[in-house]
This record gives sequence, C-alpha cells and structure tokens, in this order.
Amino acid sequence: MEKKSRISAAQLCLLMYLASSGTGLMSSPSVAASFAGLDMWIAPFWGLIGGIACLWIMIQLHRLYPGQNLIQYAEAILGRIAGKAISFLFLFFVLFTTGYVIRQMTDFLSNSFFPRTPPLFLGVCIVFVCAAAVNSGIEVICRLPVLFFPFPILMMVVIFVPLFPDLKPVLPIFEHGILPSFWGGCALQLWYAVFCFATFYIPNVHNQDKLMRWSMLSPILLCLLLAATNWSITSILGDAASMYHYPFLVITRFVSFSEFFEHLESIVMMIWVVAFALRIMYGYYCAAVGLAQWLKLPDYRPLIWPVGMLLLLMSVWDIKTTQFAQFDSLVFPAFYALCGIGLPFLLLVAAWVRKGMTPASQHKTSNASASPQTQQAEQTK
Amino acid sequence: MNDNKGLESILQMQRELLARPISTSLRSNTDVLRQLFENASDVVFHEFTIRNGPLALLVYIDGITDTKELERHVLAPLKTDGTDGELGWEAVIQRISVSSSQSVRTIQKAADELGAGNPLLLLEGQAVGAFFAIPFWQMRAIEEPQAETVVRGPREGFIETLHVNLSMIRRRLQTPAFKLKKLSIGRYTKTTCAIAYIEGVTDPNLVEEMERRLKDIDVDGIVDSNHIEEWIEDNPLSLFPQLQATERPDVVVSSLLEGRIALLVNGSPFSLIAPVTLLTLMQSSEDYYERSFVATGIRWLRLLISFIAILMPSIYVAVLSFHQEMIPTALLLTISKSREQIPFPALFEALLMEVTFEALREAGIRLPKQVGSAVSIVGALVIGQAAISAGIVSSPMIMVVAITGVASFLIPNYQLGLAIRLIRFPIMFCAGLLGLYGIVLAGVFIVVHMLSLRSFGVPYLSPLSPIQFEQFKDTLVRAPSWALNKRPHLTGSIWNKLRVRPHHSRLKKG
Repeated sequence: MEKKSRISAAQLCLLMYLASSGTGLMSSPSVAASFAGLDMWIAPFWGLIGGIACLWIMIQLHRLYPGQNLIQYAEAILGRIAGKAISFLFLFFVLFTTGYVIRQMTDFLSNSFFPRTPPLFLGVCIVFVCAAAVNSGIEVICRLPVLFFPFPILMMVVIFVPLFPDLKPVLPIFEHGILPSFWGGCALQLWYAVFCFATFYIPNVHNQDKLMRWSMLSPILLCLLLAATNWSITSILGDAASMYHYPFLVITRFVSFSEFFEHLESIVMMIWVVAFALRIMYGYYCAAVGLAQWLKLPDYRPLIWPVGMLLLLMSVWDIKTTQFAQFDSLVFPAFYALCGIGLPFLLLVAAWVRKGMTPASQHKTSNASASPQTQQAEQTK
Repeated sequence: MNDNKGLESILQMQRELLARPISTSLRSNTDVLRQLFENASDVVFHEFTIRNGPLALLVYIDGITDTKELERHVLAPLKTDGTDGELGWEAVIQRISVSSSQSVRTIQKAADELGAGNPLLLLEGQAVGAFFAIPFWQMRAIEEPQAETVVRGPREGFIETLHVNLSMIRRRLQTPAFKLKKLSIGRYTKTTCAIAYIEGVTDPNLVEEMERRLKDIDVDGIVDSNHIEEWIEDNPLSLFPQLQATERPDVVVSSLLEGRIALLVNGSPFSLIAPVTLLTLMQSSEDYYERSFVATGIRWLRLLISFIAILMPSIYVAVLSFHQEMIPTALLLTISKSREQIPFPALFEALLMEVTFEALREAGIRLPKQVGSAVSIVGALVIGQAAISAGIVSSPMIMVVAITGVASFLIPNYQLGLAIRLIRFPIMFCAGLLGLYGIVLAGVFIVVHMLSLRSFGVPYLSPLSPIQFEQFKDTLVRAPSWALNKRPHLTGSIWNKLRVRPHHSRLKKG
C-alpha cells in the first residue's frame, strides 16, 4: 500500500506496548481483580501466553506470505468467499475494539474530569487527532511512541516511588488454587489479543530478522507492567480493588510529595490520553488499511474519515456505560480471544495444510500459491 | 484590451531585442542596446576610436562599474597606445590589462553582464563583444549580526553582497573540496545564488536535489532568501521553519562540515542551511564555543524553557478552569484572592494579556529606537501595573505572561521562535475548551505534524524519533569536540563518517 514506508521492529514493539498499556493500566486491574482476587498480580503471567501465541501466529503467517497482512492472505488461504468472510470478521473486531477504546476513554474522562462536556465531543476530538496521524502514515504512527516512551516511565516512577513504603508482599498466593488467577489471565485477553493488530504493521518492518525478538518483548513488558501495577494495587487496596473502576487512579490519590504535589490524577490522565491516542491510532490505521484492502482500493487515505465515523459510531453503540460491567462474565474476553488469536490460528493451520498439500516447487512464489479455486474465481470474473 | 495589447507589444519588443545576436555593424549594435536601455539614465554609452584601430563602443552602468579601473585598464591603453594599425579582435583585447574578461555573442548575454556591473566593449566589424569583470559594489561594512549575538565566538556576519559572503566562508574553508555552484533566479532580478558544499562530505544527491528545486523556481524576482525558502521547503503549509536561516559564516561552515549544504543569496545577509532538524534549530553557535558541560546545561535549559514558552499560559488556563484540585491549597487561596475581582474567565484573561504582550513586542521591533524605550516603559509599567490595579487581569496572569515572554526569547532561531509564539494561541484555545485533555490532544497533533515533516529527506525530529543514539551527543548533550568523532548521517548512502582520527580519545592517557 505504502511503498517506501519502513518501520523498525523496535518501533513496532514500543507502539504495541504503549498502545496496550494505557487501557491496560486503566481497566485491567479491576477486571483481573474480579476474577483472581488477591492473585490478580499473577493473572498477567497467564495472559502472557495468549499475547505471545498471538504474535507468534502472526509472524509465522507473515513468513508464509511475506509482505502481506491478514486481509490479503486470508483470501489466498481460504479462497475468495471464506477469506472475505473471515477478514470481514477480523475487520469488525478491529473496528469494534478500537471504538470500544474510545468509549472507555470518553467514559473515563466524563466520569472523572469533564462531567458537563458531552462524551461524544471528547471522542470526536481524539478521533480527529488520530485521523491526522493515520493520514501521515505508518512511519509517523510508529515514531510517535518512541517520543512518548519516557513519559509513562516517568509517571510510573513518580507514582511508585512515593508509594514504596506502603508496598508489601501480597499473601497468601493461590488461596483458592490456581484457577482464579488463570481465569483472570483469560479475562486479560482483552489486552493481549489486541497484539494481533501487528499483522498490519509487520509487512512494513525492515529488519525482519529482529522482528521475533522485539515483538516478543512487547507482551512481556506489558505483562511486567500489569503485574507490578496489580501488585501495588492489591498491596494498597487489598480486596477492595475490584470495587473501583479505575483502581490505578485511586492509588495515585495516595501520592503526595511534601504535601505540595498532591492530586496527580490530572497528570496521570494526560499520560493516559497519550497512550489512548496511540491505541486508537494503532487500531485506526489497521481498520483503514484493512478496509481498503478488503475493498481492493489502491490507497487507504480516502477511507480515513469514514472509518473515523465508524469508530465513533462503535464508541456510542449501546453497551453498558461502565465497561465490562459484567465483571465475572468471560463473554468479551472470549470474543477478543476468538478473533485475535483463534482466527489467525485457524488461518495458520489452514495455511500449513495447504502448503503441505501443494508440491514443494510452488512454495517459492507465495503470491501465486493462491488456491486454485481463487484463481478460477478470478478467471471467471 | 487595448492596454493589454500595449503591454504585449512592449514585452514582444524586449524579447525580440534580447534574442538578437551581436552583429558586425557597430551602428546596429548601438541602436539595439540604446533601444533596450531606453530611459535608463544610468547606462553610459561611450563611443570612441581606438588609436590606429577601429571604432569602439564602451557600455557600462554608472554606479555599479568600477570606472577608475575601467579608465586605467581599458580606456587609457586603447586611447593612448592603441593597436599597431591592426583592426583585429585579438590585437585590441591584448592591450587591455584586466584579469578577467570574456567574450559575448548575444545581446541577451551582454545585457545580463551589463546588469551585473561588467562593462561591455564592442568593436566595429566584429560580431563579438567583450566584457570585463570589474564591478563595483557599494556595500555595508561587515558587522556583528544583531539577531545572533554571541559572547564568545567570531563576530562577523554576512552582508548583502554575495561575493563578500562567499569570501568569508572561503577564508574558513581553504580546501579545494569546498565547492560553489552558482545560478541566477528571477526573470527581472536575476539574483545570483550559490550552493555551497564540501565535496566528499556532502551527499551529492542532496546538492542535486537542491539544484533541482532551485531550477523549478520561475518568478519575476527574488528579493530575500526567504522567497527562496518558501519555494524549496518540503512542506509549504507548515508553521515550522524547514531551513535554517543564519547570518553567521561560522554557522555555515560548521554545518558544511557536518555534511549539510548552504545556499547564499545575493542581496540577503541570510544564508539558508539544509537539511535541518528541530534540535539543530534549538542550538546556538555559542554552544560550541563554551565548555561542553556548560553548553549541555544551557541546551537543557533551552529545551525546558521552550516547553514553558509553548505551554505555560495554556496550562495556567486549563488548571484554573478545569483542574483546580491540582493546585496546592495554599497557592489556590492566593490565586483565587487575586482573581476575586477579575470579571473575565481565565482563557479570556490569558488571551488579552498574551495579545497585548505580542503587540508590545512587535511595536518594540518596528518603532524607531528613540521611541522604543518609551513604548517598553508604557507597556511594562503602565499596562502591567494598571491592568492589575484596575482589576482587569490578575497578578499571577501577568507573571505567567512575563515568564512566557522571557522564555520565548531563549529560542535561538528567530523563525522557530516566531512559530512557537504563534502556536501558543491555538493551544490556549484548546486548553480553554478541554483543559489538560485539550492540551494533550493539541500536543499530540503538533508532534504528529512535526513527525511527518522532513527537511530535504531528513525527518524533522530526527535524532529523537527515528532514534539515532549516535547523534545524541550533539543534540541532547554537547559532547566535547574530540568526542564528536562522527558526522551525523543525514541522507543517502554517502556518509563520510569520521571527523576525528579513529580510536583517538582524550580520556585514554598512556
């Protein structure tokens, strides 16, 4: 789509990490807490399996079909109709999750900071900014996290260092066995499954040899961040963690530097907004590029505004305002895991089967290895 | 319609006259030139007979030709000595003792050379003329550049005359690898521009790209280098300067040594350096003339202060309008006490004061020096004090505006400073509308814009993102000159990497 845009594996790693850490810090503690209770700091480690699996599948698929993303090779693997259907489902997933992130953010802002501003207006503003970034292309989106990387680190230092005396080991571990934390990890697929968006970025990575290492680093960093946050939240709030919507925001209220710098929520909000903007761009770009490829358009830029409106539409779709209101239901995580990990895995298996069936000589040209049915279908058209 | 036809016929005649070759008849040449320079009272036509030789015509423009030289080395030999009865071209030219002379065969070229101050000599019976490079430029003395002063460092600045500027660079770069490509731009002004670069250090594609962009310019005139800047910058709709304008030859030379190219324009003391990044615009030449630790400290101060210059009024507005809980209680009480009588919301108050401040500053630049101090007294004392006591603005607001104003002077590049001054206002609106959320969104928007900017192929935020650790030692810090051992990699495959003898460090002793 974009010919010369090249990104590096490290940039992609930072983008994926920062994009998921914003929403992760905000709402994952309460989700993890409602399943795992005091074991909530173990849950990210279970979830990590999903994240790593997701990225591994995407990289394997890209190795089979270099230079293509899921929308493109889905057709080559499953044939025209099934491929279109699968990629449509995937696109819906991308649109839905990104719209949902906008919803989370506008909810958070209007609950905590702007009670009298219409939430939709808050959403429109951030979508506008993200549209500008998507319009500038993949290079700009991937360079942005490099610039903003120091700020979340600074935030964590500012918040955790004063809390240090309050931190204590969280005991007991595995009070109700291993299962609660495991289910917590499953629920965290709400974040880990989103790593599958990497499929739209991987074809532009110029140092493919380092891709595997860097992209694995990203879920690991997220896991460590969530584990550390959940641990400090449990050690301060204890069992009450699941009762707050934004437990992290609650613990920042405990921070006080010499009684002069208090109420750091606004600072946290600013950094969250940056992370949310990154997350929205991350999904927005995927949605625009994916939709353009699904419709076989030469450029994704004309789709930016329509996709933006779709995202806003998703964000006001009638879902319970307090997100994940059904705390103990796994419906949402299951949907995320199914689309983010299940679908690609299905494609990978199908691709393996297909590659196994076709003679070795045809392996070389991955583009030409489209199924005979597809070729026929294209010929008849 | 009639007027248009008249105009068309004038242009047609100019074109026709210019297109003619120089003919063998001196009479017809004189007629053509006289027609061409009709009503140009400063053009002198001097007809004379060379002793023992043919009839000759000397044309020059009074005031830009060195008439003393002309008399001593051209007129005197021809009139008093003359030729030995020969009428040929060679015989005449040999009498003339001017170091640089060239022949012309078309009226167009002859007119160009006359305009550049070179006198033209035409002979009867010769379809060729000669011009002598003895222009005389009235020029201003070389002075310290007012806008880029340093405490330590060279004090000379460019002037309006191109060849003097080039000589200032050449004096510092005595290598034959220092190259200059000249070309003239502007149909009427015919402004001479020179691309300066060091062969073997600069990526040749960069020079080629610059030449290509310059050749695309087709306008009637170039008066200042800014006109060229607007034609060749990568993103014409950006607020940020994408070329560095400088008056200092030492800045040009050090940029050339880094592999950049410079463009000097006749008639403008500002030369343009390309490519640049945001952080090079945040550097002052004095950073390199002071001790490295101090210079690093100053660089950080500058970065910090530039954030204040951009964001302080908007953060004040946002915090006061939306996030009062952020202010420590004691401070909040003080602020609210001083804001008690203020009838305006914080945004309006901030806009009022910032606009006033900008107006005062602009007035300070434009007014004659004698009046300038009066304005600053009126501005600073009367308006500031009176506004507070009249209850129109609060004193914290005055402080914010004052700090912002001082902060914006710390940005060494004037164009960048202007951009930052202007960008404050939209951010203030965002802050008034959406508080800190608005500021963050505006910030992200600006950063996205800057990330998408390129200056001659080099990303605008380049050492920061995309990240180039090697360049941090001349951006985030200013390492001592022996540690700046590698040239920055700008574009292309040609990268003359080492600036210092390899494996040479001042830290290793014995």
